[in-house]
Amino acid sequence: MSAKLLRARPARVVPAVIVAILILALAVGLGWVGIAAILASNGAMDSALTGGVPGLDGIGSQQWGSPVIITIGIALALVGLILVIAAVSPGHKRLTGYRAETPDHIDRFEVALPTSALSNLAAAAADSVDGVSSVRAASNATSTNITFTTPVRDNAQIRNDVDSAVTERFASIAFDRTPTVKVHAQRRPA
Amino acid sequence: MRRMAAGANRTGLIIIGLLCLLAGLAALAISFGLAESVIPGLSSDKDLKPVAEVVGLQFSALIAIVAAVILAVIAVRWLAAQVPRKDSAKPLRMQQDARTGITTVTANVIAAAVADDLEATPEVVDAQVILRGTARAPELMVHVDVDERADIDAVVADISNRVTRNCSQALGSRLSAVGLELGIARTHQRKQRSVQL
Repeated sequence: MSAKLLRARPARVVPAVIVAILILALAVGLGWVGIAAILASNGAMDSALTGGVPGLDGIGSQQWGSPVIITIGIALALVGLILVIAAVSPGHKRLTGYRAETPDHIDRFEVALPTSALSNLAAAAADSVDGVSSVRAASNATSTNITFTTPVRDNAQIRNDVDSAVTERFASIAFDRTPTVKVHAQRRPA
Repeated sequence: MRRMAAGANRTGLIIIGLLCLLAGLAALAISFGLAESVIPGLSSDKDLKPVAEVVGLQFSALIAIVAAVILAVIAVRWLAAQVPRKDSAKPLRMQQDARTGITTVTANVIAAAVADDLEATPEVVDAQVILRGTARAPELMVHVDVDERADIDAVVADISNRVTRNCSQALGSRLSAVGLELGIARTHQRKQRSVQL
């Protein structure tokens, strides 16, 4: 199976940008220390790093068992673990598949709706129900949660109406897997 | 739609993550005296003199600068890769025989025409199109924002039967792939429907 045309999983841009900036910062620091060491010894190319930053000698007096080293070790291991998990875990699916027939002039036809589209569809359907004052909807690839506010005290009927409006709207669309719908009502006096 | 450096990001994160994890675990193993069984004498009460001696070596400043330049190049290239790429097709060569003349079409022209064609569908509020591939195996990537009350199945059928067929006829070849992403444009119904009396 060839790769999907539409990218359903996150590309991990944020962790990549953070790590790249940290590497850049490390490079700037390392370069600065190196240049400082060479300048301190009047441009001698064979100078040692300790010439530029006097504090570097202090590393040698630390013991492996000291709290500082243990803290650094734990922090490094944790950061490493988080990065590996971010890289390996596929992440939330951001697309819901749509069942489309491939016409004869196309070899491969893929249709999908992002989760934001599901939320907007659900919110629009719920908004059309009488008695609803405002709607919020949040979706993942397989389900949608709708929270609506209403000034009506006895709102069980409105809740049912919203549920059936959204379920009908979803049922009218040829999803691969029709998302499940959950409705919550909040009473807010007008 | 636009391509992100997902593969490069995940590979980079795995490499950096594993390096950090291994370095951290190694430091902890030495700190808790677990490394002593592997390297005799490396107990937790030893100091970090061997590590400090490395930065005291001759030429270590020069090596640090070289390492800094390499790291900076890697970091800048990684950051630059985060810009989403359109990867549009190179100008399409439409002619059969170059000796009788050359006909080239840029991908953006076709993409703009397809976007205009898409927006002719009443329910489509906005359309973005990228044409990839070659003249013989064109690929269309389409993102349309559809009105919230539109019949989604009708819009998809219209795109698959009319718009992509027009594009296929214009290019004179079958489309090797079409990716269609449907967004929903929210309109504020109450404002539209309200009537001032």
